[in-house]
Amino acid sequence: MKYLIKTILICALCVIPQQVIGASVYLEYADSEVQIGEDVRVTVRVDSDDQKVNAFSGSLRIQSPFMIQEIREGNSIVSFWVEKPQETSGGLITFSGITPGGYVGTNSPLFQVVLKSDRSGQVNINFENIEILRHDGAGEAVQVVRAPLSIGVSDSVFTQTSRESADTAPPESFVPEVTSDESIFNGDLYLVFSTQDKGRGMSHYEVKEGWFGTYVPAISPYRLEYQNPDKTIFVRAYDTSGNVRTVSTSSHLASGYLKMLVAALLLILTAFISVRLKSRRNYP
Amino acid sequence: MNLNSCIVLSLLPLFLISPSFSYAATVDITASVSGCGDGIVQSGEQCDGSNFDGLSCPAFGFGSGTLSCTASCTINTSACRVAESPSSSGGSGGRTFITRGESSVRMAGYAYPLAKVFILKDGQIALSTIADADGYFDVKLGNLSTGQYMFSWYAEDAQGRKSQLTALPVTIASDEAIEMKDIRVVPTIGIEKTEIVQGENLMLYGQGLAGSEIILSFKGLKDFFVKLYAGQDGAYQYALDTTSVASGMYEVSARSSVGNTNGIFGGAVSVFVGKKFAPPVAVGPSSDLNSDGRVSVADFSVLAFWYKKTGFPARIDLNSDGAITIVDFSIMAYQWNG
Repeated sequence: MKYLIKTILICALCVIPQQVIGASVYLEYADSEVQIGEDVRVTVRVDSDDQKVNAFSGSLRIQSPFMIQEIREGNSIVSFWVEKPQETSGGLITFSGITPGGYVGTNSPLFQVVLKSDRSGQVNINFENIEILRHDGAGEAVQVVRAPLSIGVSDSVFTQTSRESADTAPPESFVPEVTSDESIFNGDLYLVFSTQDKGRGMSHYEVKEGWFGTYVPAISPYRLEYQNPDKTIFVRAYDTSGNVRTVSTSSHLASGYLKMLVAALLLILTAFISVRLKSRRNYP
Repeated sequence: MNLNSCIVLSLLPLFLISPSFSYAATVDITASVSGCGDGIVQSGEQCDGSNFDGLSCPAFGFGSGTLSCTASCTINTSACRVAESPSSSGGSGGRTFITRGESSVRMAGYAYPLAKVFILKDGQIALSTIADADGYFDVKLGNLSTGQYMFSWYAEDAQGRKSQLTALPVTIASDEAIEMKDIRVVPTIGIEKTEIVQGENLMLYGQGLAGSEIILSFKGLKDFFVKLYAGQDGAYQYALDTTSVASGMYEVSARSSVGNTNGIFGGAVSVFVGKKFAPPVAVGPSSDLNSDGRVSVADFSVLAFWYKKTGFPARIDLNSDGAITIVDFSIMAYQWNG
């Protein structure tokens, strides 16, 4: 079968004593044969073993000759990344994130890595420093079964075109929020925002303060240049495919519209009075 | 004259001037059943007897069940059942069904009568609604992308107390509509004092499902459970005589069950039972870092700002271990309400 799901967890669980229980992290990829130059999508998955957990952290070490092409974090049970999965050093991907409300389940994705090899060989992918914390209000660590993966790359060269469909969906809708806290930015107002992209993942954000402002690259929390809580603020969220979603601070949107409406009415009123005055001068 | 009366009066002449009405109906039926009943699906027929022309319930978007054929040889799907996947939220997540349709999630179930119910998508409030007098709510989130989501919910009772968040992972495929039925929101729980002297009554109260069985669990008191019943407004209260309770810290949580459906225990409140003149007890950590009454992305941002940094205020360090680590985020995720 061409797209045979290979789950090394099964092998790992066979050699683990039955009395050992705990959450599991494992890797899954969907191809029976990997060729040189072929994109290999490896998904990091988790089982919670009937216990409620809410935080995941650790690293994934990928040996050469695999090279990391892309890391996709949007399709995940992790709602907020403390450290978005990223390559922190050669072949090492570090991540940490939380799932508010907790997670109980099996075979759910944390993130996906797209790999490619320029030569044949056997490649090992290992977990390092994996921590999964219980949803208990204290963050107690649960026992974790880690299942590494070994992928063989054959001598043949991949010549087909990519089978992946185009990602045209923008990031998920979200509501940015203006807030303040005495512990950061000297108590100044700042903007917080976060969303997910269910396709290939988030790329970056841009923020514009006011209707006539200019978009600038931003990360959350973003200190507002204009410390004005009534100003409408726009946030553009870009995914890695270039799709964009634009949202604004909803609580301030109405006041922004109201101000524009009042300004427009004043303009019309002024124009009307001027025309009347002018016509009176012309026809005394 | 109301609208209904107008419609009836306006249609009346049609009946009065149409004496052939019943005759015409007979002709129509005769025409539509032509060939129907011979067991062969012909032009104009969807089925014939037990012959469904190779179709079954899954062809109509259902998971299983049995098709039936009407007297006019049209397919009846009323005995089909939607696909069901097991819930993974331990009893309060209800049952999850998958049908064909616009990528959406419909969530229905019971909270407390007239409670404000909040629905979160990936940890952020997507919508809120008010449960009816029976506590029933039914909401739908549409225009969703295909992919992995975490949907969660909580309710705010009449006194403004919030229940603990319950979450469920949901994978949405293309053209799949998810229905989450029989959701049971966990009860709220409040406490009169966080520190009492032995011999005093510990007053506990909250709101659960209307008329439901409430189980109070006292962590720290071995195997100590109390069963009581909520009123029709969902309210409950209980006074625990602490005369024979040893000094120490206790956690109390509540579960609300109806019929054969057991709920799950919600968030706990802590109480310290001590002797007279006991020193003040440190209150547990609060993840509401910006004190806006919610634990949300705004608080997450504060914690993330100080992650792996030094010089943070003590209140940021939720587990008081001298560092901002993933454990602090786990505590925040436990107290989260978007």
